[in-house]
Amino acid sequence: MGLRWKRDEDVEISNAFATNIASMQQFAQNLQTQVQNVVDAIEGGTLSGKAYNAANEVFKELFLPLGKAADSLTTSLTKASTQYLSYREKMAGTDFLDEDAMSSNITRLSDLNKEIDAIHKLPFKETRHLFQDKYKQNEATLIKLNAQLTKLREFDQDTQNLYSTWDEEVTAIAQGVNYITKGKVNANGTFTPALGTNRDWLATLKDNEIKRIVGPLERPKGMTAAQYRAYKKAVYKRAKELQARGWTDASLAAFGVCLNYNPKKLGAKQSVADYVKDETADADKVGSGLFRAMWAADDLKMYDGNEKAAAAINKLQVLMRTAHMDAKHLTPKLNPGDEGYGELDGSIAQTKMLLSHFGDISPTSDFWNDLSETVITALPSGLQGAVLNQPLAKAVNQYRYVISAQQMQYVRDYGEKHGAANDREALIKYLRSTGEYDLDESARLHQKKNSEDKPAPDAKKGQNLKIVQNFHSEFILSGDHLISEIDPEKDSDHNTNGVVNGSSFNYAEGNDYNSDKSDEWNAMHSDHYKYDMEVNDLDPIFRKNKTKLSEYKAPSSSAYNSAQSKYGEDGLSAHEINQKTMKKFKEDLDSD
Amino acid sequence: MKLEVKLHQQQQLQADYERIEAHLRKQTKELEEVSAQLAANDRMLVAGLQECWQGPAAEQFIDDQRRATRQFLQQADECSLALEQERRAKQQDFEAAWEAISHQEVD
Repeated sequence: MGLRWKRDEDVEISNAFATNIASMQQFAQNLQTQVQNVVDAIEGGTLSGKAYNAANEVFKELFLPLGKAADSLTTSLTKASTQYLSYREKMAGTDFLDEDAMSSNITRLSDLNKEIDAIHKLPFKETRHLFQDKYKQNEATLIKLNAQLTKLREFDQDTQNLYSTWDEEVTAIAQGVNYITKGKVNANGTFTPALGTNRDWLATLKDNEIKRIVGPLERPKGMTAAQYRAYKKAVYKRAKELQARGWTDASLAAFGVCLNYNPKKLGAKQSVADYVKDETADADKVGSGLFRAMWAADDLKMYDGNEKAAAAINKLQVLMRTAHMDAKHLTPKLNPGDEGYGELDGSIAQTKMLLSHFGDISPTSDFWNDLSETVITALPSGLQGAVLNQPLAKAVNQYRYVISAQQMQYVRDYGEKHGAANDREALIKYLRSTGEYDLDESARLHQKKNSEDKPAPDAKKGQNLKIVQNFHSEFILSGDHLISEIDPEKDSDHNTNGVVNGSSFNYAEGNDYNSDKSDEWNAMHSDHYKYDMEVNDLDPIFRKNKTKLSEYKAPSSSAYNSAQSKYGEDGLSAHEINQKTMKKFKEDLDSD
Repeated sequence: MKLEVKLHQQQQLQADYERIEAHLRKQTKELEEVSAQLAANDRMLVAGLQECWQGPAAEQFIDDQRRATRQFLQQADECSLALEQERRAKQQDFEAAWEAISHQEVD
């Protein structure tokens, strides 16, 4: 049976909205009375000690979820009611419309017009114009009738999910209010429900909460009604997992929007479970389109004051969990007290595992700017300076090396697709394709030598080149090889040059270390120093061992520029050697 | 004029006239039949729409549809009248031509 629209039913729906909203307001009022009783008991000292704690638990476990659900539902109902009224405008001037019957009329008229078309093509000039006119008039009629059908279908599409789950939720809230208002908070802080009431409503509310946050889901093509129900259930379950990971309501709403954007057709032999797994897999990939949409939806501009830093911290925590930098996925763990996160070990296996949790994201993506802003907002005192959030700061610091390894691998993959023979050629081809790069950033910190005045293995004096994109993304080229702190192709034991001199992502927006903003400028206040340089305490142990135990040290600014220092060679300073090597690189980059 | 020629001309004239008249009558008949059929279909459409679509917009649309049907029938009448006028004109032309040939003297 096709769609049918009746204005009488529309009035009933509008009334149902109003009734439900009024019910919610009444529930909220009843609940408020009971909440006030508990608050009075707590504040009035009636409840103290264990009783106070128990009452608090009851409050958190029962009252808060119910209050939150009632508030959210009232907001949703009000919003949906407004939306409904606006969608209803489409049906202005129509009191009744039957899709099937209208379709039959359209088909009949269309068939008839084909006959007229045949008549007016006959060579009877005396009557030809008459039938031509009739044909055109019928065509215009068909367009108008089809427009009515389109309106009806659009209205149905717009509104089909607008009021689908509320009855269940309104009932659950009513049961919850009944449970709480009829029950009693005892002197010991516990709660005794009235006979005949139970807590089933709580589970219903939790299920519905996620539905409301994610929003209605459109039915992908090729799904039967039963498959569509299974699809919704699986998506909401997945959303709960993402919620547990720390994603906010705004991000989960974006998750729903992304799923509704041109949903793919269910494959002929594809199960709904596989479909949901495939379509939501990118939520687990840092930098994928879906991940970036969810990240961007939780816009820090929405928050004020302390809330902004807390929101930024939450975003970083979500990022670390998605990236598998958390202790659940990454071993070894960080130091005692840092239980939430793991520690990089420089192994190929671990590096590959971490890189497998990235989406397809280029080193020039805007996401990297946004991530950097988030880090600076979350940890305003810098990474090592983040005393209260040291475990997170440590993970965020170590993640710089993971990002850099991903970007290095991105360039290698690009090179492989475009026939590059080595990393150097891959980098040249990649940089040419973007046209965005800076070859003038100082590479001083990437020319370390050890206590025996030997450069790291594979490094030649002054020749580790530094190329950056948007300052954040960094590549270090040593001869024909890109080097990074961790490398999916090398264990740290075989990557000394990478570990001590390799690339790392920069959280600072630009190189403000040597800023000449004023005479009083202290380089240690620069973002580059606070977020990218002063990080030794937070570095992975394997790196600390390499740099400290072997006493690898970067040249000072004066040593870097001195031909006589141990960093220079053949009458040239390390800086001059670097510039000479860079000149050759630039020539190769510019030649096509 | 020879008698055979005169008779041939008259036969030719008669045949031409009959052909044209048959064509015009057929056109007129077909026009009447088809337009009546189309008008009936229009009325069926209106009846069908009244059952599946109601409200001010539908009423307006149905009114327009009825007006268009009336207009079509009026145009069909006019067309039919034009065909009849053309037929009469052809008949007069024929009669005049017949007359003219009739007055031709034979050798």
